[in-house]
Formats: sequence, structure tokens, C-alpha cells
Amino acid sequence: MKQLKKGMQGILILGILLIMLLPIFYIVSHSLKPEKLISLLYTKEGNALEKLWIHPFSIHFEQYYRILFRSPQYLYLFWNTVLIVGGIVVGQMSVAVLAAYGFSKHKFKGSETLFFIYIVMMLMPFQVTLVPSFIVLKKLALLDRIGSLILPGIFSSFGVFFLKQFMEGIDEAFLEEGRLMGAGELRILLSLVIPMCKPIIVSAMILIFIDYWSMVEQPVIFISTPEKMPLSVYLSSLASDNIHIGFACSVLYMILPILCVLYGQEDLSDGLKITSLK
Amino acid sequence: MKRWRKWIGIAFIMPSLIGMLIFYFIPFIVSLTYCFTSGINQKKFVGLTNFKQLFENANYRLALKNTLYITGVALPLLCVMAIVGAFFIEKALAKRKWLQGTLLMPMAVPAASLMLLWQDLFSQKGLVSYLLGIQVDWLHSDVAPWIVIGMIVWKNLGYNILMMMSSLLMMPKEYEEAALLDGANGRRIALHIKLPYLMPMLFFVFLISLLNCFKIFREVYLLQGNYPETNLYLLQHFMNNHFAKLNYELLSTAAFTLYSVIFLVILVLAKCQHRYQNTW
Repeated sequence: MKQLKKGMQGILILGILLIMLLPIFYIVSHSLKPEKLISLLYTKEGNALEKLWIHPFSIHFEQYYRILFRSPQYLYLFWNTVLIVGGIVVGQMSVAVLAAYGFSKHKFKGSETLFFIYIVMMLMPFQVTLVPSFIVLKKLALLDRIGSLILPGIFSSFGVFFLKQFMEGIDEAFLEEGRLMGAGELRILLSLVIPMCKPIIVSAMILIFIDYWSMVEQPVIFISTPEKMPLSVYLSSLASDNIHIGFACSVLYMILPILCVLYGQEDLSDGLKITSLK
Repeated sequence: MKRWRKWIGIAFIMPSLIGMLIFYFIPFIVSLTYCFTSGINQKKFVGLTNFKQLFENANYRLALKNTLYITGVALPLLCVMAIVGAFFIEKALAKRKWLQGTLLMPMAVPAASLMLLWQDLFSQKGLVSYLLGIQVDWLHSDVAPWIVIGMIVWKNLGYNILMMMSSLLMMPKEYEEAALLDGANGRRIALHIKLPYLMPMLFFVFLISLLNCFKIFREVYLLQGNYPETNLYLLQHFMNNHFAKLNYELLSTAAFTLYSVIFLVILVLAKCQHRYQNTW
């Protein structure tokens, strides 16, 4: 009986693994095929099975070579996207650490209400404020610039929410000791609170990164020049027009978020545990 | 001392607050006024006319129906599968870090990277057609919403299972041991001890999944653009297209209606959770 259960479990895990990983494997394996083979497969309308499983383990770096050394456009867009998302992640975290500290350790009259408003704003679909945001960005002369994606991203309240939940749990006496030793509030935040929050900061950064790395709603409205679009929008048209390097484009585009998850996995599960405590 | 500290708190919040006001709160209030007025330059109070117009709009009803359909199927499916999955592989999962990483993978892969795959799988000459022996362009057929539901599940299930598992792992061992001593079998333990214990987490997972369901717009948009097949026409399409048509009142009214529904769901959940924790 026990053996049977173990076997069932194994099959279930194997099934889940296959379903989760096969799509990724497919993209990666196609990206490692010569350009000619891909062009051929997609122009002559080959057999479906052939498309799926032709030379699954062949390794050619032709596609990557072309992207990295022969097509500056892709690299330019990639860099653009890194700039946008990096700006948002770093900016939002800096603002959020300060605000979360204020919300959790220096409560004032009305701070709970204010925090509730933050939650209300966090859960709001993007389209609710679409028109007024558009007007604000127009007044700030940010439309059709990457600033129109970065600035609202920095002030999104997700980071504040996430960090505040954790900072609530930090023992007040611990901070008081720091104060007695003559440390200022900023010093306490930098040398006591932030090191304690490291796992939660890392996991918040990863979640923010993943979310904005594939943003679609905002650029579609705020950016009108296709060349200024982040890859999240532009990639699919780029890839289907240049199918011979499309798969490698897709792989390069998903490397960063996947590395993030792998690197921060431990912190992410710690973060999950903390949010589940609430 | 007390008064002084209050100002410190406000000072820490200030940078975030200013940005929040400019980019979220003020737009939110302005948007709210759009719902009850007409004309952008000379605003006129029109009461509930916008809402009436909205619900008489056939496109809106279509978008609402599709969105409700997809969310209504995907959301319970995600929650149930996450619970069942967590029960089955909890112990195996807890020991294997790499497996946890794999479960998080689909969430990390950006929508745009998978476009080629989805197109390949579901095209007229794709694998699905081949396996079923019927040549249909699946993404433009009646089953398209189900494909989208499948994508939602694929993307979010691993993350949900992990959340459930992390909650299960924190359950005190004594609960299960005591039940075992009393002669309860695995199924009874799962139903009467683990499931109630999971409830608070379930609320959280439900909420996250609800928000993630709306994000599937990204995939649909990248696959079919602003004007997709009628059975994939979502609320976000409706709103984006009315933005393009400069029909701001209708857009804001639609968005606010959606948000009110989301907010209501959240409030009810919070209330349930509160009650639940008090009785347990």
C-alpha cells in the first residue's frame, strides 16, 4: 500500500514536471537549431510531429550569434527593457522601504487609514485610472517616453504592502536598543531593519521584476513609437516576422526572470511563508 | 517625544505618498467623477446615465460575459487543484528545493516568450490538430476560451501549490499525530484537519489568483491584438478600444464597475476570514 502511494506520488510529480517544463524545453531546443532548419519547418508547413521533435538535442548557436552580433535592434530593445524594469525595481524598493518603515514603526494618527488606501490602490486594475493617468503623464511631458512606464511603476503600492507586513513583526525593543546607543532613525533603518528584511526585500524585488518584465497594458497605451516599446510587446511581432531567429529571441528574453526565480527561490519561499502567516 | 516621532513617520512616508497621490490617488478621484459626468471640457452631471449606457452596450455585455466565464472557470479550478496538489506532493515537495524552483518556472516565463509555442501548438497544422486528427485553428474556434483557461492554470498552478504547501508545513505536527492516534485515516485527516487549517491561506490564494486571472489579457492581446475573436473579447479589450475612441466616460464607468466587483469580493472574503478565525 505504501509502495503504491509512493509510486502514485512519483507519477504525479513527474507529470507536473513534464507539463511545467516541456513548453520551456520546446522553445529552448528550437532556439538551438540552425536558422535554415527553422525557416524550412515554418515555410513548407511541415508535419506537426516533425516540427515538435526534429533533432531535439542538436546544438547550434547560429541564431544567438545573429542576434548578439548582427542585429543591433534586438539588443537595443533588450537594453531598453532592462533600463525600464531595473528603474522600476530599484526605485520602487527604495521608496517602499522608507514608507514601510514609517507605516510599521512610526504609526501616527490616520496611518492605518492611509495604509488601507494603499491597499485599495494596489488592487485597482490599471484601466481604472487610465484616462487621468494619461492626462497627468501628458502634463509631465512623459508620454511616448520610458519615463511614462517607470514613474508610475516606482510609486505602485505593492512593495510598501509587502514590506510593511514583514516589518510589523520586527521587535520594537531591538530598535529601541539601537536608539539608546545613539543611532538616528535612518541609521537604524539602514543597519538594523534592512539586513533583517533581506529575504523579503529580495522576494519583493523578484516579484516586481517578473511582473513588469512582461507588462503589456501600460506600454500599449502610453508608448506610441514601436521602437520604444519594451520587448514584452514588441517581441511577438519581431519573432513572428523573423521566425528564423524568433526562438532565440524568446529564450534570451526569458533568461533573466528565470535566473531571478532560481537565484531567489529560497528567499521566495521564505517570503511565501511570511505572507501566509498573516 | 511622542509628537516628534509622529512627524518622523510622516517624513518616511512622504516620498511614496507624493508619488502615490500624483499617479494613483488623484487619477482615481478624477476617474470617479468621469463616471457621473459627460463632456471632458465642460463637465455636466448626468447621474447614472453612463451606467445605463454601459449595460446597454452589446460589446460590453459580450466582454463581461467572456471575462466572467473565463475567470469563473479558472479561479475555482486553480484553487481546487492547488489544494489537491499540495495534499499529494506536500512531503515530497518540502524536501526537494529544485522541485519548488520548477514549480515557480511558468510564472517567471514572460508572456511574449511563449507566443511562438502557443501558435505552434494550436494552429491548423499544429500538434493538437495532428493528435486529434481534426484540422482546426483552435485559437479561433469555440474552444479558445478553454485554451486560455488552460494557460491561466499552467501559469499559476505551481505558485499556488507552493503557497498551500508552505502553509501546510507550518501546521503543528501534533495535530496530525493526535488524529492518527485516534485512528483517523489519511483522507479524514486531509478533510477535517488539513483543509480547515488551510482556510486562511486559501483566501489569500483566491485573491492572488483573481488578480492573476485578469493578467491573462497579456497573452490574449499578444496572440490576437486589439480585436480578438468574439469569444476572447475581454473587458480590457473593451476598455482599451474605448480609450482609442476617446470615449472616456464609458471606459471609466466600465473600469469602476469591474473594480467595485473585485472590491466587493475582497471585502466579503475578508469578512469571512475574520469570522472564520474567530470561530476556530
